[in-house]
Amino acid sequence: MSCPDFELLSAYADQEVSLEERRALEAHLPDCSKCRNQLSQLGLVGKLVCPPLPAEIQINPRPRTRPGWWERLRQLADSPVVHLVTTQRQRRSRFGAAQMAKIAGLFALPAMFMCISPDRSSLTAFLLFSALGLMLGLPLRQFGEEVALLASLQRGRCLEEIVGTGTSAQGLLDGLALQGLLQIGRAALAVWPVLLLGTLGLPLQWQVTAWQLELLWLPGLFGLFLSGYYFAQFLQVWPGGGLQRILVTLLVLSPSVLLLTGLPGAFAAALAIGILARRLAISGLNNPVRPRAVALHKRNPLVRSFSQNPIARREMSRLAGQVGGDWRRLMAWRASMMVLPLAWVLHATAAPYYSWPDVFAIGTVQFCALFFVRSAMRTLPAVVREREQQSWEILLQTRLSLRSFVHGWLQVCLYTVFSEGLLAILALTGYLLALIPSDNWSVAGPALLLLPAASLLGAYVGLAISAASRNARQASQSLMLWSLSGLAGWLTVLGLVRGAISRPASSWGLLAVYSLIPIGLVLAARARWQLRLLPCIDPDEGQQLLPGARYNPILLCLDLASLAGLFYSLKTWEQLREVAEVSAATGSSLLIAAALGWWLLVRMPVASLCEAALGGRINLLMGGILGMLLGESLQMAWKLCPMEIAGFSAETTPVALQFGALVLGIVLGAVAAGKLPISEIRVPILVARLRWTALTLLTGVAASLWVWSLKLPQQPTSSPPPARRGYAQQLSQLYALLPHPELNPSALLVLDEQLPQLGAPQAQDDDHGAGARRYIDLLSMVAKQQARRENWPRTLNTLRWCLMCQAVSPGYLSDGRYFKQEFPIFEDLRECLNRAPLDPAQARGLIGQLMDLHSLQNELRGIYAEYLDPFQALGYAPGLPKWYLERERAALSLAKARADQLIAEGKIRYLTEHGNEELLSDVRYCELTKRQLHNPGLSSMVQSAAREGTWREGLALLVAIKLYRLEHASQWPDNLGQVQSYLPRPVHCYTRADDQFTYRPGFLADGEHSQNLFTEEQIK
Amino acid sequence: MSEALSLALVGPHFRERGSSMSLVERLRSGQAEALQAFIEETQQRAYGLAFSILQDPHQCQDALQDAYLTVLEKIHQLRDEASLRSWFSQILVNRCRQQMRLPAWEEMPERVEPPRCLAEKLDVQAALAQLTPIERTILTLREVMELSYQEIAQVLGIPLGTVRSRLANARARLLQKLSQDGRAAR
Repeated sequence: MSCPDFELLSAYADQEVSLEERRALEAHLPDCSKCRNQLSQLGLVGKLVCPPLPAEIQINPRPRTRPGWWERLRQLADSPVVHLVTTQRQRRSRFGAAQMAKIAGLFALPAMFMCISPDRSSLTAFLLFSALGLMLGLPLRQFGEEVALLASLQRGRCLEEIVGTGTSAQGLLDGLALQGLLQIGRAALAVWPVLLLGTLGLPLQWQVTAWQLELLWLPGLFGLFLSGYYFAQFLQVWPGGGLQRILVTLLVLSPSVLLLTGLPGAFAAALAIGILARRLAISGLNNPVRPRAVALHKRNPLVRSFSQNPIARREMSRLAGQVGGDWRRLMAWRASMMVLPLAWVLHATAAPYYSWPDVFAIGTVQFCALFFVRSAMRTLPAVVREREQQSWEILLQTRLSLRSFVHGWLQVCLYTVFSEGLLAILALTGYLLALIPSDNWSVAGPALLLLPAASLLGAYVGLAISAASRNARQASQSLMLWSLSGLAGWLTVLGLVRGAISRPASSWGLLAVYSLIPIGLVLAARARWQLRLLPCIDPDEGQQLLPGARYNPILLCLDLASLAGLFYSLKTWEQLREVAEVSAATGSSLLIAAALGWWLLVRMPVASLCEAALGGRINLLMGGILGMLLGESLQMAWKLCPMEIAGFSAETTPVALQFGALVLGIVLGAVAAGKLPISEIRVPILVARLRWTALTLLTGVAASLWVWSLKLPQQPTSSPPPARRGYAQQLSQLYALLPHPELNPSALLVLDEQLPQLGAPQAQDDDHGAGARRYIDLLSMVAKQQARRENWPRTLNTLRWCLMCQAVSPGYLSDGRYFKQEFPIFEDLRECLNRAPLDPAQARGLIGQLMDLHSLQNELRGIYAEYLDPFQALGYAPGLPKWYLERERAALSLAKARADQLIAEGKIRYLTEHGNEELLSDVRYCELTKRQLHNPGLSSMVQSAAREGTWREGLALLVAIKLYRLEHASQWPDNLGQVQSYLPRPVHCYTRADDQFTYRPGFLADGEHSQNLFTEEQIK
Repeated sequence: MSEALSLALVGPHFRERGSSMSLVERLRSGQAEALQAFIEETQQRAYGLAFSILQDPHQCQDALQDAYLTVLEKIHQLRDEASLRSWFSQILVNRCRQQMRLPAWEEMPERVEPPRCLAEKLDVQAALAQLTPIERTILTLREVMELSYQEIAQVLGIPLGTVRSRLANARARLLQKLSQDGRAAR
């Protein structure tokens, strides 16, 4: 054997060789002195290696003292990483006092507008989706910074440095979490009071749930932030091993399972995710893995295949660098982040869809707003960043076309927004499928298409604002102002549309959604047009792409005053409605029109004057408005001192003054807008500049004409308007506008307002409306409310409407079946008659309504048609002889004729007492007919109809007696004959079989049946 | 009879009546003198190990303080009493690496400053200082801490074959240096 290598000898010396190696070596060693020598030297090494312990080294470990929770919190807040983040934030000044005020305003404004609406379901939906959007948006926005910081530290190899300097991994993560929590707390505390205040405006039956949800919102937000934050950090340091991959999958899926247990389960899931992710993140930080050097743009397969556009490639690489991991991690994280807000919103919308008709529309609108703002934020740095880095000029000199630049940014923006918003779209679609009835899909489905449209618009607006801004700060301020003013403008337009068509509730939510389309299209087209000028825009020259993007602090007082005024008008709104009896739609339109007018005629001129005083310029529109104001002043002066000017007549002079002042104002405005010397004014220049002014003026004129056409609030006239024919159709239309108002008390108020004073009733009014029965139900609810407020005249009026609707109600369902609903209004009517002061005209009308036999006949015919007509028409026993069936039919016809006769004579009592037998007393009938006529269902229906007739007659008699007393100085009638003259036909229900009448004051008796129609107090 | 079974049969007084408690058990019970005994028993070797990585006596002192404190705090995590030495070695090596702020062995600087203390300016130490840090550490773990190859591989998180080859390499280089100085020949 040749000499073994040194490694084998070394292992042999340590007895770490295999059996075969040992045998071979032991066979070789006795023959080889060199190997024996080496082996003996190996034995020496051990004695040489260990250095002596220096005498000055004293090892005396003392147990570490554990700091308390407060001390630990202070240490966390004082860690160097926190200071680093705080410094970064102070530079950006995010969530300062001004930002908090803006955020609060952003939510307070729509909530305020929705408080105007009598139907509060839209407010509910708004609050719900605002809370949801904030729950999603705030942590996502906040995570970005912390996670990006950790990622950048990791990339720059500084993370290990920080971890090594005594800051433990735990302290690093918790310090960042604490800092983020403080930031998010500031933002949340700006919005939370608005949400809580908005809850006050909700209907009473929703308030308890709403309060619960609002109170759960804050801990939910914090919990979501913490769990999402730790999860994101864990994904940052995640080494990507197989076991960890399974863990991550479990982490992402676990909330979905726990979600089945409802909101507590979801909270538990968030907590579990947070704790587990924190531990994993700490262990990941303590045992770091070297990141593999992969080209940034190759990390994300989507990015790799995305585009050849250099701008898109650059930005996507930057994005991939910020995210730190690959896109799968990002998606996994975002999926888990959706869970808690979804649980929250599912808990909130556990009520069925029909009670929240506007929820989908409002949700779509709010998601549109979210997409808009997010897209705009994404493209906002496009030009501004280049300017700040002083590379814009260089970029313009390259071969990159402007078109590619814009397209690149659009691609980046759409990719980002849809990777973030995919889950939002999925959630909305799921909501659509799960909660909305399928017949509403066709209208709600296309609304989802608005999301990409909003995103595109946001991208364009962001680019435009970026081009017109000097630095990032100015750009973000402009965007904030534009979003706010866009929101206010949209709400105003919506209010106008809603007021103009006076259609509340169900349809306006959808209108709201679709009214966004033209606005979006116009804005996008304008932004596109402006982007052609991109390289020519120089913000330092003051050539603003989007005018009015600056906000002057002087205007703050003005705007505060305007808000106060608006709040005051809201406060007086309810009183106004009580007094003036305006409809809700007209009233809200007036309010919005007033706000708009105030804005145009007071706020904008004053603002312009302020700007002019501060050295700004009066723009074109302001010229026109100031001209109008001047014209008005001239007119007033002319009224004080009328004279004929330059040949104008007395009628035309004011118009001429107005027109002249307007033209003067516009020309001055046009001149001032472009610093154009008067001598250089030419017609083409003026025409070009007046184009927008003309459009504005046309809009103004149309708006003012529309305001003029509105019915102004008036006191109710003394004589009630006559009842309208065909009111049943209007009733059914009204009913269609009030879906499920039993869930919404404010809808009953609408009903109450729209109920005119009833004049002479026209019972023979036609009715084709299917909603009349439903309407009767609502009316009786309204009557109960009025009775509770002891407003007896209005209660009586409402009850008369009930009676009238009942008279024209066809009693048939759409499938042809007879349907009779018991309306327990007679007891209410009696109570009301005893209390209400009676107007003679109204009393006669009421008697006519009560003594109307038409409805009773209709009803009985309906009952017979339901029970007997099938036998008559079809032949119920096919085997029976023909003559027998004809006898049957004849018997049935006779029965019905007899019933009609009894009713025509007013002998309703016979129907009441003897049911159907009385009908057939003198009719020969056979056994089958008899059996059918003794059908218990038929008998009870007939008797119930007869009871109603009895009630009607009794109440008519009561009204007649009251009328008699009214006209005879409160004297009671001696006999019934004295009051008979007030009745259209003799009353039979209170006469005995011998046609004798027993009457004593307070009681109407017919011997066997007596009804106490008066209260004891009235008898005395 | 297994230990668990004998415990179950004899009862909890078995340990007290029987032989005295082992060092690990006394450490677990938090006895200060147990830690002192452990320190006295192991500090010479531990210093050797720490010095092989850090090459600075003051840093060695800090690392040793922390490592012994960690032993006291985490002794309940030790499952197998027999592996106390390798467990302690792992703690000490981790602590030294942490002190050098080095995530991986590959990033350890090849050249370290020569020892400053006069007493350590021996030729052996100079020869040792010329080894790579991983070789020095493996050599110390084997010769001073007397760990098996398997335990060394576990402590350092490297393959078994690497331990064997690096150790042989270290010994060869050390012997070569010393033979150049003529010390090995003596």
